Amino acid sequence: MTVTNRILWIVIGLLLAAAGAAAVLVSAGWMPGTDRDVTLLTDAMSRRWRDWGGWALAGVIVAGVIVAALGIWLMSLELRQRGGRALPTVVFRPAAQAYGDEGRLAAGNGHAAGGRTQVDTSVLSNALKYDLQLDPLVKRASVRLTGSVGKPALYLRLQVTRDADMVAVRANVAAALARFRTTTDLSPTLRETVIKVS
Amino acid sequence: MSGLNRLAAFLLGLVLLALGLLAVVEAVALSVWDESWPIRPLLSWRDDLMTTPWSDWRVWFGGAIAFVVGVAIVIAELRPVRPKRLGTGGAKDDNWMLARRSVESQTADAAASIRGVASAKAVTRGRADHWRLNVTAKTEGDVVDRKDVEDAVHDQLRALGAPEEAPVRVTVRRR
Repeated sequence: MTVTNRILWIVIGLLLAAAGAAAVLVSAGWMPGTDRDVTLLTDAMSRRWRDWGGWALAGVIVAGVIVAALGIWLMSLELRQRGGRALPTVVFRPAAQAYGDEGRLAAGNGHAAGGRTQVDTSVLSNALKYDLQLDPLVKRASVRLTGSVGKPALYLRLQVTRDADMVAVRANVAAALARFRTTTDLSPTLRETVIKVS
Repeated sequence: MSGLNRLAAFLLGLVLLALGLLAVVEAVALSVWDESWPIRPLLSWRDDLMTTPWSDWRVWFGGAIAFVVGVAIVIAELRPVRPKRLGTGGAKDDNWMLARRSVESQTADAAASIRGVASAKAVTRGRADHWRLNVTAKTEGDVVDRKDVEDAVHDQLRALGAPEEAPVRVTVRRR
Protein backbone atom coordinates (compact mmCIF):
# COMPACT_ATOMS: atom_id res chain seq x y z
CA MET A 1 0.00 0.00 0.00
CA THR A 2 2.88 2.33 0.78
CA VAL A 3 4.36 1.83 -2.66
CA THR A 4 0.94 2.22 -4.30
CA ASN A 5 0.35 5.49 -2.47
CA ARG A 6 3.77 6.80 -3.42
CA ILE A 7 3.16 5.99 -7.09
CA LEU A 8 -0.27 7.61 -6.90
CA TRP A 9 1.14 10.84 -5.50
CA ILE A 10 4.07 10.88 -7.94
CA VAL A 11 1.60 10.59 -10.83
CA ILE A 12 -0.59 13.34 -9.33
CA GLY A 13 2.46 15.53 -8.80
CA LEU A 14 3.64 15.02 -12.39
CA LEU A 15 0.18 15.77 -13.80
CA LEU A 16 -0.12 18.89 -11.67
CA ALA A 17 3.35 20.08 -12.67
CA ALA A 18 2.65 19.39 -16.35
CA ALA A 19 -0.71 21.19 -16.26
CA GLY A 20 0.79 24.13 -14.38
CA ALA A 21 3.75 24.38 -16.76
CA ALA A 22 1.44 24.21 -19.79
CA ALA A 23 -0.78 26.96 -18.35
CA VAL A 24 2.25 29.22 -17.73
CA LEU A 25 3.69 28.58 -21.19
CA VAL A 26 0.38 29.31 -22.93
CA SER A 27 -0.27 32.35 -20.74
CA ALA A 28 3.17 33.77 -21.53
CA GLY A 29 2.75 33.06 -25.24
CA TRP A 30 5.69 30.63 -25.28
CA MET A 31 3.75 27.57 -26.39
CA PRO A 32 3.83 27.25 -30.18
CA GLY A 33 0.47 26.72 -31.86
CA THR A 34 -1.51 28.51 -29.13
CA ASP A 35 -2.96 32.00 -28.84
CA ARG A 36 -2.71 33.62 -25.42
CA ASP A 37 -5.52 36.06 -26.27
CA VAL A 38 -8.05 33.26 -26.70
CA THR A 39 -10.45 32.85 -23.77
CA LEU A 40 -10.31 29.82 -21.48
CA LEU A 41 -13.76 28.77 -22.64
CA THR A 42 -14.40 29.67 -26.26
CA ASP A 43 -17.67 30.26 -28.11
CA ALA A 44 -16.95 27.15 -30.18
CA MET A 45 -16.73 25.00 -27.04
CA SER A 46 -19.96 26.51 -25.73
CA ARG A 47 -21.72 25.90 -29.06
CA ARG A 48 -20.55 22.29 -29.12
CA TRP A 49 -21.86 21.77 -25.56
CA ARG A 50 -25.26 23.14 -26.61
CA ASP A 51 -25.24 20.98 -29.75
CA TRP A 52 -24.72 17.85 -27.67
CA GLY A 53 -27.89 18.75 -25.80
CA GLY A 54 -28.96 16.19 -23.21
CA TRP A 55 -26.00 13.95 -24.04
CA ALA A 56 -23.63 16.52 -22.55
CA LEU A 57 -25.37 16.42 -19.18
CA ALA A 58 -25.70 12.64 -19.40
CA GLY A 59 -21.95 12.49 -19.95
CA VAL A 60 -21.40 14.67 -16.88
CA ILE A 61 -23.64 12.38 -14.81
CA VAL A 62 -21.72 9.28 -15.95
CA ALA A 63 -18.38 10.98 -15.32
CA GLY A 64 -19.61 12.12 -11.90
CA VAL A 65 -20.63 8.58 -10.96
CA ILE A 66 -17.25 7.22 -12.10
CA VAL A 67 -15.35 9.88 -10.15
CA ALA A 68 -17.45 9.24 -7.04
CA ALA A 69 -16.86 5.48 -7.36
CA LEU A 70 -13.12 6.11 -7.71
CA GLY A 71 -13.26 8.19 -4.56
CA ILE A 72 -15.02 5.42 -2.63
CA TRP A 73 -12.55 2.83 -3.93
CA LEU A 74 -9.59 4.98 -2.91
CA MET A 75 -11.00 5.56 0.58
CA SER A 76 -11.69 1.84 1.06
CA LEU A 77 -8.13 1.03 -0.03
CA GLU A 78 -6.74 3.40 2.59
CA LEU A 79 -8.97 2.00 5.31
CA ARG A 80 -7.90 -1.57 4.60
CA GLN A 81 -5.65 -2.94 7.28
CA ARG A 82 -2.45 -4.87 6.75
CA GLY A 83 -3.15 -8.43 5.74
CA GLY A 84 -6.56 -7.79 4.24
CA ARG A 85 -9.99 -8.59 5.63
CA ALA A 86 -10.42 -10.07 9.08
CA LEU A 87 -11.22 -13.77 9.30
CA PRO A 88 -14.99 -14.27 9.18
CA THR A 89 -16.88 -15.80 12.09
CA VAL A 90 -15.76 -19.40 12.59
CA VAL A 91 -18.32 -22.15 12.95
CA PHE A 92 -17.34 -25.30 14.83
CA ARG A 93 -19.28 -28.49 14.36
CA PRO A 94 -18.58 -31.54 16.51
CA ALA A 95 -17.55 -34.59 14.50
CA ALA A 96 -20.29 -37.24 14.20
CA GLN A 97 -19.87 -39.67 17.11
CA ALA A 98 -20.83 -43.35 16.93
CA TYR A 99 -23.04 -44.58 19.77
CA GLY A 100 -21.08 -46.53 22.35
CA ASP A 101 -17.61 -45.19 21.46
CA GLU A 102 -15.70 -45.42 24.68
CA GLY A 103 -15.18 -42.12 26.38
CA ARG A 104 -17.32 -40.23 23.90
CA LEU A 105 -20.75 -38.75 24.15
CA ALA A 106 -23.62 -39.91 22.03
CA ALA A 107 -27.01 -38.26 21.82
CA GLY A 108 -30.14 -39.99 23.02
CA ASN A 109 -30.90 -43.06 20.98
CA GLY A 110 -27.58 -43.50 19.29
CA HIS A 111 -27.65 -40.85 16.62
CA ALA A 112 -24.56 -38.65 16.18
CA ALA A 113 -24.35 -35.50 18.35
CA GLY A 114 -25.25 -32.35 16.39
CA GLY A 115 -25.19 -28.61 16.87
CA ARG A 116 -22.74 -25.90 15.99
CA THR A 117 -20.74 -23.29 17.82
CA GLN A 118 -20.22 -19.91 16.26
CA VAL A 119 -17.15 -18.04 17.43
CA ASP A 120 -16.44 -14.45 16.51
CA THR A 121 -12.91 -13.85 15.23
CA SER A 122 -12.29 -11.24 17.90
CA VAL A 123 -12.79 -13.92 20.55
CA LEU A 124 -10.11 -16.09 18.93
CA SER A 125 -7.76 -13.12 18.50
CA ASN A 126 -8.23 -12.03 22.11
CA ALA A 127 -7.67 -15.56 23.39
CA LEU A 128 -4.34 -15.77 21.56
CA LYS A 129 -3.46 -12.25 22.64
CA TYR A 130 -4.00 -13.06 26.31
CA ASP A 131 -2.03 -16.28 25.96
CA LEU A 132 0.90 -14.40 24.41
CA GLN A 133 0.74 -11.77 27.15
CA LEU A 134 1.10 -14.45 29.81
CA ASP A 135 4.76 -14.53 28.85
CA PRO A 136 6.53 -12.12 31.27
CA LEU A 137 8.78 -11.01 28.41
CA VAL A 138 5.78 -9.76 26.42
CA LYS A 139 4.28 -6.52 27.71
CA ARG A 140 1.62 -6.24 25.08
CA ALA A 141 0.48 -8.32 22.12
CA SER A 142 -1.68 -7.47 19.15
CA VAL A 143 -3.18 -10.26 17.08
CA ARG A 144 -4.83 -10.05 13.69
CA LEU A 145 -6.46 -13.05 12.04
CA THR A 146 -7.18 -12.67 8.36
CA GLY A 147 -7.95 -14.80 5.34
CA SER A 148 -10.53 -17.57 5.22
CA VAL A 149 -11.32 -20.49 7.53
CA GLY A 150 -9.63 -22.83 5.09
CA LYS A 151 -6.57 -20.59 4.76
CA PRO A 152 -6.23 -18.34 7.81
CA ALA A 153 -3.29 -15.99 8.29
CA LEU A 154 -1.88 -14.39 11.39
CA TYR A 155 -0.20 -11.04 11.99
CA LEU A 156 1.38 -10.42 15.38
CA ARG A 157 2.73 -7.30 17.04
CA LEU A 158 4.64 -7.88 20.26
CA GLN A 159 5.89 -5.24 22.63
CA VAL A 160 8.64 -6.93 24.66
CA THR A 161 10.68 -5.89 27.67
CA ARG A 162 14.08 -4.26 27.24
CA ASP A 163 15.92 -7.34 28.47
CA ALA A 164 13.83 -9.84 26.49
CA ASP A 165 15.73 -12.75 25.03
CA MET A 166 14.45 -13.18 21.48
CA VAL A 167 15.14 -16.91 21.47
CA ALA A 168 12.86 -17.29 24.50
CA VAL A 169 10.24 -14.99 22.95
CA ARG A 170 10.20 -17.04 19.76
CA ALA A 171 9.85 -20.27 21.71
CA ASN A 172 6.96 -18.88 23.74
CA VAL A 173 5.19 -17.62 20.64
CA ALA A 174 5.60 -21.03 18.99
CA ALA A 175 4.12 -22.69 22.09
CA ALA A 176 1.18 -20.27 22.18
CA LEU A 177 0.49 -20.92 18.50
CA ALA A 178 0.61 -24.68 19.09
CA ARG A 179 -1.98 -24.30 21.87
CA PHE A 180 -4.11 -22.14 19.58
CA ARG A 181 -4.01 -24.78 16.83
CA THR A 182 -4.95 -27.55 19.22
CA THR A 183 -7.79 -25.57 20.79
CA THR A 184 -9.34 -24.13 17.66
CA ASP A 185 -8.38 -26.69 15.05
CA LEU A 186 -7.29 -23.72 12.93
CA SER A 187 -3.76 -23.62 11.54
CA PRO A 188 -3.10 -20.03 10.58
CA THR A 189 0.06 -19.19 8.68
CA LEU A 190 2.15 -16.77 10.67
CA ARG A 191 2.64 -14.06 8.05
CA GLU A 192 4.39 -11.46 10.13
CA THR A 193 5.64 -10.88 13.65
CA VAL A 194 6.85 -7.39 14.50
CA ILE A 195 8.86 -6.91 17.67
CA LYS A 196 8.94 -3.59 19.45
CA VAL A 197 11.08 -3.06 22.51
CA SER A 198 10.01 -0.70 25.27
CA MET B 1 5.57 9.65 5.40
CA SER B 2 3.45 6.59 4.69
CA GLY B 3 0.91 7.69 7.31
CA LEU B 4 0.73 11.13 5.72
CA ASN B 5 0.36 9.53 2.29
CA ARG B 6 -2.50 7.38 3.49
CA LEU B 7 -4.29 10.32 5.07
CA ALA B 8 -3.77 12.45 1.96
CA ALA B 9 -4.99 9.63 -0.30
CA PHE B 10 -8.03 9.13 1.91
CA LEU B 11 -8.83 12.85 1.75
CA LEU B 12 -8.33 12.77 -2.00
CA GLY B 13 -10.85 9.94 -2.16
CA LEU B 14 -13.27 12.02 -0.11
CA VAL B 15 -12.79 15.00 -2.42
CA LEU B 16 -13.35 12.81 -5.49
CA LEU B 17 -16.53 11.41 -3.95
CA ALA B 18 -17.79 14.92 -3.16
CA LEU B 19 -16.91 16.25 -6.62
CA GLY B 20 -18.49 13.27 -8.36
CA LEU B 21 -21.73 13.59 -6.41
CA LEU B 22 -21.75 17.34 -6.93
CA ALA B 23 -21.32 16.90 -10.69
CA VAL B 24 -24.26 14.47 -10.77
CA VAL B 25 -26.52 16.78 -8.73
CA GLU B 26 -25.57 19.83 -10.81
CA ALA B 27 -26.20 17.99 -14.08
CA VAL B 28 -29.61 16.79 -12.86
CA ALA B 29 -30.51 20.29 -11.64
CA LEU B 30 -29.49 21.83 -14.97
CA SER B 31 -31.36 19.27 -17.01
CA VAL B 32 -34.56 19.33 -14.93
CA TRP B 33 -34.82 22.94 -13.74
CA ASP B 34 -32.38 24.61 -16.15
CA GLU B 35 -30.79 26.10 -13.04
CA SER B 36 -27.51 25.48 -11.28
CA TRP B 37 -27.81 23.88 -7.81
CA PRO B 38 -26.23 23.69 -5.25
CA ILE B 39 -23.36 25.72 -6.74
CA ARG B 40 -25.39 28.80 -7.61
CA PRO B 41 -22.50 30.75 -9.20
CA LEU B 42 -21.65 27.88 -11.59
CA LEU B 43 -23.18 29.62 -14.61
CA SER B 44 -21.51 32.93 -13.79
CA TRP B 45 -18.19 31.04 -13.47
CA ARG B 46 -18.82 29.72 -16.96
CA ASP B 47 -19.37 33.29 -18.17
CA ASP B 48 -16.12 34.31 -16.45
CA LEU B 49 -14.23 31.56 -18.26
CA MET B 50 -15.67 32.79 -21.54
CA THR B 51 -14.29 36.28 -20.93
CA THR B 52 -10.94 35.44 -19.32
CA PRO B 53 -8.07 35.07 -21.79
CA TRP B 54 -5.09 32.75 -21.26
CA SER B 55 -2.91 35.86 -20.91
CA ASP B 56 -4.76 36.85 -17.72
CA TRP B 57 -2.44 37.07 -14.71
CA ARG B 58 -4.64 34.65 -12.75
CA VAL B 59 -3.99 31.89 -15.29
CA TRP B 60 -0.26 32.50 -15.10
CA PHE B 61 -0.33 32.63 -11.28
CA GLY B 62 -2.51 29.54 -10.92
CA GLY B 63 -0.31 27.64 -13.36
CA ALA B 64 2.83 28.60 -11.47
CA ILE B 65 1.31 27.48 -8.15
CA ALA B 66 0.20 24.17 -9.68
CA PHE B 67 3.70 23.62 -11.11
CA VAL B 68 5.44 24.35 -7.81
CA VAL B 69 3.04 22.16 -5.81
CA GLY B 70 3.36 19.33 -8.35
CA VAL B 71 7.15 19.42 -8.26
CA ALA B 72 7.15 19.59 -4.45
CA ILE B 73 4.93 16.49 -4.28
CA VAL B 74 7.17 14.56 -6.67
CA ILE B 75 10.33 15.52 -4.75
CA ALA B 76 8.73 14.56 -1.43
CA GLU B 77 7.65 11.18 -2.76
CA LEU B 78 10.99 10.38 -4.40
CA ARG B 79 12.91 10.95 -1.16
CA PRO B 80 14.12 7.63 0.22
CA VAL B 81 11.90 6.47 3.05
CA ARG B 82 13.40 4.57 5.92
CA PRO B 83 11.49 1.35 6.54
CA LYS B 84 9.45 1.10 9.74
CA ARG B 85 10.38 -2.57 10.15
CA LEU B 86 13.71 -4.31 9.71
CA GLY B 87 14.24 -7.93 8.78
CA THR B 88 16.02 -10.31 11.14
CA GLY B 89 17.80 -12.03 8.31
CA GLY B 90 16.50 -15.48 9.08
CA ALA B 91 15.39 -18.18 6.66
CA LYS B 92 13.45 -17.12 3.58
CA ASP B 93 10.12 -17.85 5.26
CA ASP B 94 11.12 -16.21 8.50
CA ASN B 95 8.80 -13.28 8.90
CA TRP B 96 9.99 -11.88 12.20
CA MET B 97 10.74 -8.20 12.00
CA LEU B 98 12.08 -5.58 14.36
CA ALA B 99 10.61 -2.10 14.75
CA ARG B 100 13.28 0.23 13.37
CA ARG B 101 12.96 2.69 16.23
CA SER B 102 13.44 -0.10 18.74
CA VAL B 103 16.68 -1.17 17.06
CA GLU B 104 17.92 2.41 16.99
CA SER B 105 16.99 3.24 20.58
CA GLN B 106 18.26 -0.03 22.04
CA THR B 107 21.63 0.12 20.25
CA ALA B 108 22.03 3.80 21.12
CA ASP B 109 21.35 2.97 24.78
CA ALA B 110 23.86 0.12 24.61
CA ALA B 111 26.51 2.47 23.22
CA ALA B 112 25.67 5.13 25.83
CA SER B 113 26.08 2.56 28.62
CA ILE B 114 29.83 2.41 27.98
CA ARG B 115 31.90 4.34 30.52
CA GLY B 116 32.97 7.66 29.09
CA VAL B 117 30.20 7.91 26.49
CA ALA B 118 28.06 10.95 27.23
CA SER B 119 25.44 10.32 24.57
CA ALA B 120 24.91 8.14 21.56
CA LYS B 121 22.73 8.10 18.50
CA ALA B 122 21.96 5.18 16.21
CA VAL B 123 20.51 5.43 12.74
CA THR B 124 19.64 2.62 10.36
CA ARG B 125 20.04 2.94 6.63
CA GLY B 126 19.10 0.76 3.70
CA ARG B 127 16.12 -1.46 2.97
CA ALA B 128 14.08 -3.56 5.34
CA ASP B 129 15.73 -6.78 4.18
CA HIS B 130 19.24 -5.36 3.86
CA TRP B 131 20.05 -2.69 6.41
CA ARG B 132 23.04 -1.25 8.20
CA LEU B 133 23.51 0.61 11.43
CA ASN B 134 25.48 3.80 12.06
CA VAL B 135 26.18 4.58 15.69
CA THR B 136 27.72 7.84 16.81
CA ALA B 137 28.95 7.97 20.39
CA LYS B 138 29.90 11.32 21.87
CA THR B 139 32.34 11.75 24.74
CA GLU B 140 33.11 14.67 27.02
CA GLY B 141 36.81 14.22 26.54
CA ASP B 142 37.19 10.83 28.20
CA VAL B 143 39.09 8.22 26.31
CA VAL B 144 36.68 5.65 24.98
CA ASP B 145 37.78 2.53 23.19
CA ARG B 146 35.76 2.25 20.02
CA LYS B 147 35.96 -1.53 20.30
CA ASP B 148 34.05 -1.43 23.60
CA VAL B 149 31.24 0.54 21.99
CA GLU B 150 31.20 -1.80 18.98
CA ASP B 151 31.02 -4.88 21.22
CA ALA B 152 28.15 -3.37 23.23
CA VAL B 153 26.24 -2.58 20.05
CA HIS B 154 26.85 -6.05 18.60
CA ASP B 155 25.73 -7.67 21.86
CA GLN B 156 22.53 -5.65 21.79
CA LEU B 157 21.86 -6.55 18.16
CA ARG B 158 22.36 -10.22 19.03
CA ALA B 159 19.92 -9.91 21.92
CA LEU B 160 17.39 -8.36 19.56
CA GLY B 161 17.77 -11.24 17.15
CA ALA B 162 19.11 -8.94 14.45
CA PRO B 163 20.99 -10.51 11.52
CA GLU B 164 24.64 -11.28 12.25
CA GLU B 165 25.73 -9.85 8.92
CA ALA B 166 24.10 -6.42 9.44
CA PRO B 167 26.97 -3.93 8.94
CA VAL B 168 27.61 -1.71 11.91
CA ARG B 169 29.68 1.46 11.79
CA VAL B 170 30.63 3.03 15.08
CA THR B 171 32.03 6.52 15.31
CA VAL B 172 33.33 8.00 18.56
CA ARG B 173 33.43 11.76 18.66
CA ARG B 174 34.25 14.39 21.20
CA ARG B 175 31.37 16.71 22.04
